[in-house]
Amino acid sequence: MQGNEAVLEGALAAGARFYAGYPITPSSEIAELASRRLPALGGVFIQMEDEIGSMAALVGASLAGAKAFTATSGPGFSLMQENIGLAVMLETPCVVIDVMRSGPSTGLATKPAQADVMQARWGTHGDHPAVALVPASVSECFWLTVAAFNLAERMRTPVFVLSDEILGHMRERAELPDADEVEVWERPRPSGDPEGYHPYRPGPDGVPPLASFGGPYVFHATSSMHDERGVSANDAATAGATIARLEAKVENLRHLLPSPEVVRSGPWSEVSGGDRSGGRVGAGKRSRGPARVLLVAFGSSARSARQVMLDHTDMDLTLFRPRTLWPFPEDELRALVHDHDVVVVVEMNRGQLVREVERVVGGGRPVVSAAKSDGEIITPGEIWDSLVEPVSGGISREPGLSPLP
Amino acid sequence: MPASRWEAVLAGEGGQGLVVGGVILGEAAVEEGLQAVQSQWVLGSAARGSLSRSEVVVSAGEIAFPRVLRARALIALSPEALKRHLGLLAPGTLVIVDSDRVPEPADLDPGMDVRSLPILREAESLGLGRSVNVLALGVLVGLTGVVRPGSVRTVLARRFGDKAGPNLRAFRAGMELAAGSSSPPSSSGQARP
Repeated sequence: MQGNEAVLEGALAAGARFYAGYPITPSSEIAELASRRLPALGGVFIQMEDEIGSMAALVGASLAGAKAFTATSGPGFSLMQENIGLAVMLETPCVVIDVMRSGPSTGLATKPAQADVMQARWGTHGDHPAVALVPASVSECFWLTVAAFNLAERMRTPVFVLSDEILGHMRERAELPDADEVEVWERPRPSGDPEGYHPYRPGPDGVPPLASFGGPYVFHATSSMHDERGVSANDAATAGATIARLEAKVENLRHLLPSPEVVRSGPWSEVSGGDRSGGRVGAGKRSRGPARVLLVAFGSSARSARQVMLDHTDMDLTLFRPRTLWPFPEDELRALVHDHDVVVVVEMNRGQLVREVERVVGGGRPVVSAAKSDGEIITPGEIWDSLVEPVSGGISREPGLSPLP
Repeated sequence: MPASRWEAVLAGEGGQGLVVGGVILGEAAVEEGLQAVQSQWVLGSAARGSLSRSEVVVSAGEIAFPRVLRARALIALSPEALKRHLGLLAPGTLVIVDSDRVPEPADLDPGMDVRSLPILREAESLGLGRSVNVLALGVLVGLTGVVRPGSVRTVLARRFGDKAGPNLRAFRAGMELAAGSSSPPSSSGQARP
């Protein structure tokens, strides 16, 4: 199964029944499959005039009660940003799949990149939360798309899945579950007297219940700052509290986000079985060995980084692979940093995630960027080359560092 | 069975079906409990008439890096398909070229195991022009044994249902072409992953 196919299957399994989009390489298979599958399920597929309209349609469909999604690539993601802000402000659940390609602009239409890291975080203006999931296998394309819908519903906010050309067009073994094996979450719904319904009065975790347009709960939805009733309000207290709550509701539910994968290899994994405390024991026994390297990589770059580990089993290497890119899993990364000597950030862009990693590491360890941005996949050999200098060039907690074998 | 990677490139012109050929090879490997990753380079205007490529990685163990770096086998059904992939070849790589379409590659490393076979002509003469991808796959499987022929037949039957007949015939014709291949048998492209 292809990565793009798995995304579509994940969306359907999660209950998606509305797609509005404008086809773009390398995401078009998702639109093509959605156009075939959704009508048979009683859903709606609309090929829109552009990505601006697509995103607007998602917001409307979501307010009407549908689980709505679209798929695009960098240029289309750019056009969607205005209405992504609308979705944030109206607190409408929806999912945007961005199968990343090389830019800027239409750039290299058929070639991969991971250069939308910061567009996913800050593409739309104003203070706002961002939730972005990053699969690294065809199987994860399915599961993280399911998670994206669940989180969007649970948090009442747009959620992004950042795939890329390599993953989208790659086929590999993936065993998908039966529909009844997939856990599906629904948005919080109001109950009680429709007259007293406040569409923006937060529940205990900051998420307000959402009624569907067309039902007994009548409410006003505006992109301008509004109070709990959805009525425009310009006062500082309302604005400050609303802006803070939009971020706080995501933070409050952070424990629901897919957790990073941590894989250790090399001599210490044999000593320790790979767990953290054992890792320290293993490192202590080999005080004059080469530096212990923490690789940070996501998506298809993580597969290249993992290959480095498979090719160099004599090195102490750890892969930290976020499945959730935003909010960045900073506590989990920070917990790993102390028993490594150098952090290497692998990404297919000019170095976007590395700045976030530097912020988290906070100067405690050297952070090296293994970044590549030319439309071609980053290879294990290129990552290895970027490791050689820091590993053999004197970055080590212990004196007497050995050169690489 | 060692967990080492076995990598192949199936390349030719858009419309010859080599992307699907790679998919079938990958599915046959999965049929045997192996891991397989297939990717392709055929987009937009390249889909008809110009270069088309399917990359397949097969392994008994985890496949992390999904693309081909050192091909153990290359199928080239057009001159461009050979020229563009010389950088992926290593001494011992099995290079299967169409004898009518691809001129004798003079600058090829003598260490390559080159088999120049009339793949396109054979497919046409049997009335199986549209199954040339599967015929080429038969040659590849026949010469390397990377998957069992039965696994490919299982995939063909599943994929094409009651229209599988021509493809099954094309696969057998490819296997026979491989068996009659005049070059000395080589250990290079062979061996299962």
